[in-house]
Amino acid sequence: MRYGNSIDTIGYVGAEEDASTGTGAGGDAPVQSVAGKVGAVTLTTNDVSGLGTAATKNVGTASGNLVELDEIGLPALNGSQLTNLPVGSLFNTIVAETTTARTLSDADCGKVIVCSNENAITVTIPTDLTAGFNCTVVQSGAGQVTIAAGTSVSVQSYSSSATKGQYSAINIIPFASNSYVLEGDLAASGGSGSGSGSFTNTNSLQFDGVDDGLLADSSFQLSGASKWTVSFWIQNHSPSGNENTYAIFNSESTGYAGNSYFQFLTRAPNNDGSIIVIDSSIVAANNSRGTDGYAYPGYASNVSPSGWNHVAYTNDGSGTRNLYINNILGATITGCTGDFFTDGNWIYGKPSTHTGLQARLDEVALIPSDLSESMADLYNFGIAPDLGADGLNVNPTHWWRMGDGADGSGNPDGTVVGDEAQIYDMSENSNHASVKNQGSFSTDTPS
Amino acid sequence: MSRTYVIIDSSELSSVNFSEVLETSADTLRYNIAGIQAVLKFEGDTPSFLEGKTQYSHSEILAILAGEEWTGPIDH
Repeated sequence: MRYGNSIDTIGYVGAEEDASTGTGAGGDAPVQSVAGKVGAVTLTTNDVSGLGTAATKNVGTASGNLVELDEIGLPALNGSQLTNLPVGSLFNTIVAETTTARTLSDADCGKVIVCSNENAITVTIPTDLTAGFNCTVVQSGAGQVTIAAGTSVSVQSYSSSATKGQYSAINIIPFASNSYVLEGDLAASGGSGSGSGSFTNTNSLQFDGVDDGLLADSSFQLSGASKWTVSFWIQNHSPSGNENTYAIFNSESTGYAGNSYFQFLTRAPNNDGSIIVIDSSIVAANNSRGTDGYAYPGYASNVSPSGWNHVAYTNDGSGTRNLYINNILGATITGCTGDFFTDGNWIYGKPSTHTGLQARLDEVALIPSDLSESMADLYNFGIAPDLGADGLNVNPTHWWRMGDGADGSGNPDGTVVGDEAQIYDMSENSNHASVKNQGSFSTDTPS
Repeated sequence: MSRTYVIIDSSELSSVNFSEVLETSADTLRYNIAGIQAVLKFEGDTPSFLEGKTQYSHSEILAILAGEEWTGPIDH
């Protein structure tokens, strides 16, 4: 007999002797006891087979080893005790997407898709993804990311299927076969995904350039001492291609004198245009064009002669008014404390003005706060947002949606009084408006 | 359905049946600057009170309305 130390045990190398009741190292039957033996006793895997494979594994982080718990007990979440795990099981892999289109694949499951393009980006969920697919999409650049459903794929969300802005993120969550729900930093509107709380914009009001008009039931006011924002969307639809000058919100009954209104000018050959505010309260006030009462940014390339334009005019209640066109500050007027509207109810089209608006109007809102600091949200990448409680929640005092948000009775705004379609005021003030002279609805909207 | 436009003298407005034209009332008409003429529009058959008057398409009436007699100057 000889004795020697081994790493794991004291080895019993006396093959010529039984360790106990077993048959020894070279035998077939497992050793059942080493009681009473001294010196090295070597056991083989055959002898400990009843304990399972754990009894024969080494401790460590290499392949095939067992993990030894530390004083905390559970495997460390920072991964120090875990190696060679399948990618994506706990740690997100970041995938850079620099183009404007990506179709997801199973390889994207569990990963973070970071979209950095400056233009609008579409991420499509195809129909052939393995059940349970999920991932996160991040908008890291200026381009809004829209999640699109591929053929036979359903994408649902509470509000929209588009990101809210830079550094917003959308989680794509599976809830049935080829059906996904989106959650995260969703824009108020945009994309095709929509649920019961969704905001849709499918109608605008089209004026014929001759005599179409829009008259509210009662007057509305915008006083100089209050904070407010006038917000609306306008699209020229004149085929002339030449400069067109239109007056919007000519709210008074005696023509232009002493009134406030907007002018929308386009120059199709120059591919530009302008929005002018003729603010009666700033005549003789210090403004960008002296004392003529204009908030006039000049012609600008950001005004589309054929597409939708967002116009916002704000008042801080202390004499400063800002004109924004498509989220760009066009003019700032200071020192004007007078009223903008005093007692007007023509939203557009008072006949005595001798002008005709050949354009489409949509989402006209009077908001009782200065939204200068939130103009990006109001512009929303050129997609008219939900101003209501499920969206920006800006509590408009008047909100004429031009054919949307009605009572569901089938007509664009639900009701015809006489032969005049009604434009519902979706605010709690219910200052509904009547379409004069049979203006028509259009499905061309800023959406 | 396309719309047809007609210019009528203001003095003739008393003969207009507004249920046969698309305008709401005399209060919502587009008048020329002098206030002596107005525009009416209709769809389909010509109303009897407009028979014999020159009819215009949308583009034709817009060209007329762009003239100085119909469109006042807008400062900008």
